[in-house]
Amino acid sequence: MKCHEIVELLSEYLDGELDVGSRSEVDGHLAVCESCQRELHQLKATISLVASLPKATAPAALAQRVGEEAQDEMQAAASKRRLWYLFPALAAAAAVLIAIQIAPRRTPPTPETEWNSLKTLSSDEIAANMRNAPARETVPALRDLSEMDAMADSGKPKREQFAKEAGRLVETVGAGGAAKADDALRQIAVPSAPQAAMPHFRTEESPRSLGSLKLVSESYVEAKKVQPTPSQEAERPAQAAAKPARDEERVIVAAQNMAKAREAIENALKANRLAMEPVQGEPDTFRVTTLLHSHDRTLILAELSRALASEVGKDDHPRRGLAPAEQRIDAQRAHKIPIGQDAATTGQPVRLIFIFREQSAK
Amino acid sequence: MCGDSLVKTDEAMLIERCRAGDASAFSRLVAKHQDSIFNAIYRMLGHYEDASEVAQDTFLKAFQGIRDFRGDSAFYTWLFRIALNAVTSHRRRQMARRTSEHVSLSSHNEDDDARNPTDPPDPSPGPVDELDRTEQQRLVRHAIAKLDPDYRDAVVLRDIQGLDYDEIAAALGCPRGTVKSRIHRGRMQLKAKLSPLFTHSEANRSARVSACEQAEARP
Repeated sequence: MKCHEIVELLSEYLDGELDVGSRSEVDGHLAVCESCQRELHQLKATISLVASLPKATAPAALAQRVGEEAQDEMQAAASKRRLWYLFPALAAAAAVLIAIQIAPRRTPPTPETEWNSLKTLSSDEIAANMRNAPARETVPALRDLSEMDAMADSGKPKREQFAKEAGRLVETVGAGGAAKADDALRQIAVPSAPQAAMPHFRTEESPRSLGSLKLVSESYVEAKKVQPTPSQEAERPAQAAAKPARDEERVIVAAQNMAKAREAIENALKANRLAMEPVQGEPDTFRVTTLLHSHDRTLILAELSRALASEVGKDDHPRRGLAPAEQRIDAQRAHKIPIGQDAATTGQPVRLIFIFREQSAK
Repeated sequence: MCGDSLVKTDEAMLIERCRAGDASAFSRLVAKHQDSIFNAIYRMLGHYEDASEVAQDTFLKAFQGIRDFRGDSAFYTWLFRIALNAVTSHRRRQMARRTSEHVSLSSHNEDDDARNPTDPPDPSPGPVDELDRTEQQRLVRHAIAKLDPDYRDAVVLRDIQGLDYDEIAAALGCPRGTVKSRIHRGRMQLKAKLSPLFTHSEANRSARVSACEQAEARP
């Protein structure tokens, strides 16, 4: 071996990481080569200079600070868990809001509200439409679940107010049954009224930085769990037939790139060996044909959150490669989108319905 | 031997309790590893305050991810891995900040980093100055700080933390061959920077230190 090859091995030689053969070769060379000996000595000296640097000790407050934050985090997690008893109310509120969002489709078409017409436009044109359509600003966008969490985090008064608000909305839904609720919702959905009635569900001004894919989950199963009072029951007409299928969970997928969103979801479903088929007469609405048990649903939604993570251009793994804030949102999605877990404990099979919506780029 | 396995069992038990959400068990794990982890982070970043922040971040991430710890690597190797990720993202943030401030990287002086240029200089010696007291230590610290981050991390894990090549490969998440060459390149660069300190005579020590400083000052 030549000197420069020997020098390349000196670090491993000193660290005892060379195999026996190479080691004896280096030994043999060092015995006769003064220049390599010098290299070895200088390398040794360098290592000992680095190794002899004083050891820094952690700041005294570090363990305490970490302990406190860990404790906080656990308490926050616990209080979030406690909040889930509110979920039926939240789900009902979500149902109301989705109905509000859909409502304009049933009014005479205008360039701002006829959603179907948007489909044929490019995303740039849609974005332009959105910008030039002040009327849309008054329609509250559905907030995603992580925002609900954020609200839950932000303190008790807000939480109470929200619970009250949600409770009121549940009453609206419960009082008339689904068909009647629809009518009620159309009434609420006059411009500016939703804003006033539901201050928390303000228009989302800046979409979350989680790429162009946005998922909103709406569980009809949860809504069904809200029991109407006897008087409300009396008011209810015989409407079993008019009732929409309630053993389904609607997942609204709002994305700037519909093709990409659909692909992500199809891939997620493929991973779970499930197929998605279009719903007749409802454009951009797809149904997963297999009846899903809670477990499947959890898997699929976890898979979706992973798809969401890769949508952001990061590593596939939802917990890796994301900035802390994103990571938290992501983890929340993984755990909280399948909130239906509650419903799932009833053992009832659930159908997932995906509704694709174009979302303007802002 | 017996004591060693006892220690391991103890740690495994603490990890188990952490998984169950026991924050006090986690505090004990932190107490056990904090100095080693902090020292590594400090030597990688060369800045005490930043190191505190990143160390805190590291342990919090470890707490959040303790369920993901499978026990197929040593706990402290796993911690190092998290620490290295935290260090990397800290560097990225710092880089972005500096780029946005149009500050040239080569003019970066780590000791002035946290200070506003208009602030009066801190009269009391900070923890950093107290730590590397001698001129020689200061030079070594500077030489390490000037290394390419990849080389620096490998050298710190090997020569300061005393991890073996396989452990470093696990912590860095790269092949052993990469670890081997990073350690060697890093050491060779350090050797070149510190060579004025290697002459055997002690007589001309201050002259050698200033020769080193001049070498440092050159771009």
